[in-house]
Amino acid sequence: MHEPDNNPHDQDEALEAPPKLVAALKRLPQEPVFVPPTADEAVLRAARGHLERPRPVRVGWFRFMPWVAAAAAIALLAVIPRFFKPPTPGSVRDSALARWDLNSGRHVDILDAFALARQLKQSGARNLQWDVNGDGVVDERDVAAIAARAVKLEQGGRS
Amino acid sequence: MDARVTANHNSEVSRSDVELVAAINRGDAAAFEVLYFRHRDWVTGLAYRFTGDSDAACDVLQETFLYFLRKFPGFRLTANLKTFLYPAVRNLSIAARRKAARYQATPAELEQLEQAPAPPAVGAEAGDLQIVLAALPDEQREVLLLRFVDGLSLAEIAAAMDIPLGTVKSRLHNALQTLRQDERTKAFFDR
Repeated sequence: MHEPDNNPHDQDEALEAPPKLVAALKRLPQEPVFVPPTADEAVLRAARGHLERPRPVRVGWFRFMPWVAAAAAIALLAVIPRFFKPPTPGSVRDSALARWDLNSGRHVDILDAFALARQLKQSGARNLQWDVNGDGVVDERDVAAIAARAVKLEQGGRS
Repeated sequence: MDARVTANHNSEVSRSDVELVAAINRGDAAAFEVLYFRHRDWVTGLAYRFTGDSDAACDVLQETFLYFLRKFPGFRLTANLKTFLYPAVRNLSIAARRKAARYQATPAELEQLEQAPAPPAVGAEAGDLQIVLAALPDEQREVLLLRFVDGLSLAEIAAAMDIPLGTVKSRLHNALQTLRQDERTKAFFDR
């Protein structure tokens, strides 16, 4: 409960104590309180524990957003032109044709047939990924199939 | 290395309370240590004034600074730190006295615990002043001591005690008036 604020003692001179009284008040005997070092240490140890505690680093994923956005933009710039690029005759655009492109030349041509023939001759390759005609074996018939395909594709305009 | 540590310590000691509080907010435990030792004796003396018991005063000292510590990070010092510490010391002192007397006091006596104890008895020389002080109402005595012993301004006392400035002035005026009129202390006012 506060006392009324309106009082007649607003003159600060009346609120000053004579120096003699102030000195006497300060000299008033007060029993010295001995604070044991263990009390100090307990407080300071708590302070170190509280203040030096590793704080959770506020690293939000959004912190990396600019970099993610930049990377996405670069990737899009690299990919988008491919969608608008007119297909070149014989170019390997889909996975169905990709398995025929043995030398990764981005075209199915007679060189792929040569590549498979060379593999068959050198190592007798039996990797079923080269079984382009799907008959379960890798042999000269696959070479012929690639060659036929290359010729067929080249009929589309590639010279 | 030692010279650098000493230099750092000296620079800490010369910093203001506001600067130390800012450092503590950044996790600087050394700054807290400087602030602790700067105010420890004042807090202990104040706690003793309220409790009249050395052990209780030490307990209050620890609890006060642990309470203060929990304000970090995020504590903002906008006034004299004593105005923040004072109500904590007072409330913790009252709690300490209640706790000590819980099993041996009647409800009426517990009521009395809310009031600060009179200063301890002293020898004949300072005895008159002490006796007159003891006879003052608690709230007047506390304002008088905060003003002239602890050196707080009137506004700081108002903030610390959470009372209007006018009330502080009124209490201080009445306390001084009592001392001025009492035969045992009026000599202090002779020019």
